Amino acid sequence: MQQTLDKGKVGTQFIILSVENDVVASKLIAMGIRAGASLSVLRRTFLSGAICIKCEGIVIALRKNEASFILVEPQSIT
Amino acid sequence: MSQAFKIALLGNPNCGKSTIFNLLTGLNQKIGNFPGVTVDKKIGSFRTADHSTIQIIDLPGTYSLYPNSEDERVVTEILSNPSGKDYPDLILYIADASNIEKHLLLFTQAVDLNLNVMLLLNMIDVADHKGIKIDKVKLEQALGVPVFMINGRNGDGLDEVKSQIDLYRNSDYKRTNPTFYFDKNSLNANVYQKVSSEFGQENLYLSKLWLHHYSWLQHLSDQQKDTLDNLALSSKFENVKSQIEDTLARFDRIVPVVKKTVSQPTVIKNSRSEKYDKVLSHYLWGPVIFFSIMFLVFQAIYSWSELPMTWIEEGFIGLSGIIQEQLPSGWATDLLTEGILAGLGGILVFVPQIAILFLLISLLEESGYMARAVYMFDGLMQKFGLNGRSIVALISGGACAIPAIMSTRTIGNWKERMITIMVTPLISCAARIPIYTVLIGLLVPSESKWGPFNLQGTIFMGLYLIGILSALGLAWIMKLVLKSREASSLMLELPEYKTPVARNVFFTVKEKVSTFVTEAGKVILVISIALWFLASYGPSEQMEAASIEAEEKALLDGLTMAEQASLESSLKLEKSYAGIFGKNIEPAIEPLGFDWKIGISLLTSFAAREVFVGTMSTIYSVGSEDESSVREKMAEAVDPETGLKVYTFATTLSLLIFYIFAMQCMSTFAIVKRETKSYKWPIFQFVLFAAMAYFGSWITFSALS
Repeated sequence: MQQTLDKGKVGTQFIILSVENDVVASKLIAMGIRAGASLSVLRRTFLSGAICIKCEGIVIALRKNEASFILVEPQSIT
Repeated sequence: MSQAFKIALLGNPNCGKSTIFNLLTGLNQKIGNFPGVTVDKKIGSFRTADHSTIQIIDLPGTYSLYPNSEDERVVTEILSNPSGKDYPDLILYIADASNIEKHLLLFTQAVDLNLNVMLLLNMIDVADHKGIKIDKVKLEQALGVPVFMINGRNGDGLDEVKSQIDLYRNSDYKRTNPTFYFDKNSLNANVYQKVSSEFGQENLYLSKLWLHHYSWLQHLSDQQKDTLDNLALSSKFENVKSQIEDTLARFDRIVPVVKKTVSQPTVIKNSRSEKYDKVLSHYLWGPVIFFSIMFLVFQAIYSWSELPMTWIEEGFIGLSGIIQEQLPSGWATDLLTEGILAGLGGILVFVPQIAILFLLISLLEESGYMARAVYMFDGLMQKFGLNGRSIVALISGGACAIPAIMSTRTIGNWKERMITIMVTPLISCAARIPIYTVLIGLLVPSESKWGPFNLQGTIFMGLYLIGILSALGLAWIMKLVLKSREASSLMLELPEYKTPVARNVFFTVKEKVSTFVTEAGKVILVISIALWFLASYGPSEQMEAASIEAEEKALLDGLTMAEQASLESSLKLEKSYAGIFGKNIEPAIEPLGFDWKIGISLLTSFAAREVFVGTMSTIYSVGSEDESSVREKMAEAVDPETGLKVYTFATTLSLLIFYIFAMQCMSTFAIVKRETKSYKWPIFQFVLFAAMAYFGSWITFSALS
């Protein structure tokens, strides 16, 4: 079930399918985050201004609109 | 060797580069400028084992050579210009040992530019603790460069690096594996070949960087830019696509290397940072804790700086008293005491506030907390065109705009930084308090009530509120008006919490204080001398007439020596150029309810707002700067022609409104000039705030009278 990361629930594990914006993609890639990586949503701010994720061993804060370009799929628990 | 050997420190943000820079250079460091940009250039020097002096430059932290901010552009600018004067002979590449894979991207780019690189794996203790094992020998073989395990916090491993630098300098060893990671068979390989042959240099990766960034690279000539532009157009070169392709190709090469050489523990412990963040970055408790911390910071600036500020002020008063006694009286002594010493005092009096604010800010920054604050407030600040980091400047602005504006350095986005600098002085600072106190006292008696509240206190709060609201309003307008040079983005890495390194905190404070004293100080000194001249000199016959008038009046009314002296200075101020200025602008400020005496104060209090009280005491020859006695005199003042009171309710409120908005502070002017590196912004700010003050006062006065 695909969804965009900005709607991801706190505490959920996701796999990145693709990033639909080249600029956002290039920045994420530069931080070592590529399609196929798994991430978890750690928390959000009040009035959901920003979203905090953990991916590839680092914690990153993203704006909601930046997160809306990231297409993800919940990671099945094995 | 004709020139010093040059080393550059390179690495991602949060790799601990500055800690290593401070450790290597100690006090042998200074801040310079990169031409054409507002980015600070940190350079220093250190001695290696064989006592040769090495020049070292701390490049801004960046994830890659495809920059997103002005800071990061500097790195690409320097590394893509092999004939530039800052081009390094050797790169010390700092990487976080706990996250080698991610940190190797920029490393491979440096290698492909055929730069000589040594890889320093930093925070090796943290990696050890996490159970990460690194096979140094294998890593060296795979990467083709020397690798060192170091710990920047205590300096472990750095001696080995230093001796390796000596070995390197004295050998003919040069890297022989150019464009190791770069995909030479990429889609655009043809264009890179063309650029290389056109420009007569072999490195294809360098050609690629030029093709990406020629529009802003300063070292390329217009003709070269045209050539690159044509090549990019004719080959339909796609900037971002090509960047993504290159980066992915690099990771394809990095990942297997790291797999072979680094072993990660299978179970990763939840880090301490995550536990702390459950509270500190909580959507509700986070902001509450942040405001509590900021409240303490604000209190500290206020209360800790009070005593040293009094010492500095009294020290300067004492010093000028001694000089006046020792030197013959005359213009030279006056210039020295009232112009130069007063100016120096005016500069140094800010040092405690700046030092305290940056002590606390750098503790928060070093610990990793500041990144959380940015995350928490980014959304709110965005609505006003500001950045999460702006909130620190806005709150510190309540104590003093000078350190607050200096703290905007960390805002990467140009537009967001400019807006923050522009609106911060609208937040009422500590220097407005004496004026507010005097004028509110004229407005309403201290025992007045507004409902259950003390009326004076309520007005006080109202003034602060007007300041805050106008700052946010102006920010919002500027957000719509200002064109941005770069896309705004958050995408911020939140580093793990760590104990601040005392050395780093010390160097931050030292750098901020010395920047203010040397750079802003120059402007403040010049303005201070000019203001002294205007208030002390006037057409000579007029000034003599003032002295005679004071003498005659003293005889007539039987005044004491002290009363005569204070009357004389009052009359002299009236006849001085400042007095002439006040009288000339009277028609312009009459609609605001101001007379020429207030006009003089508006000029002299450009030095600093609190000077208003001093000038008023001179004009009304009070003989002391005590706020309540100044207020009494002002309350009694009447217009000699109409016989009406000068400080009516309307005039006083109008003057209060004026002081909320007007940029009556030469130090703010000077620091804005320094931080924006142009006179354009401070002048614009001064004119805009003057206009806001004028119209605000005009509306207030018209509505009330």
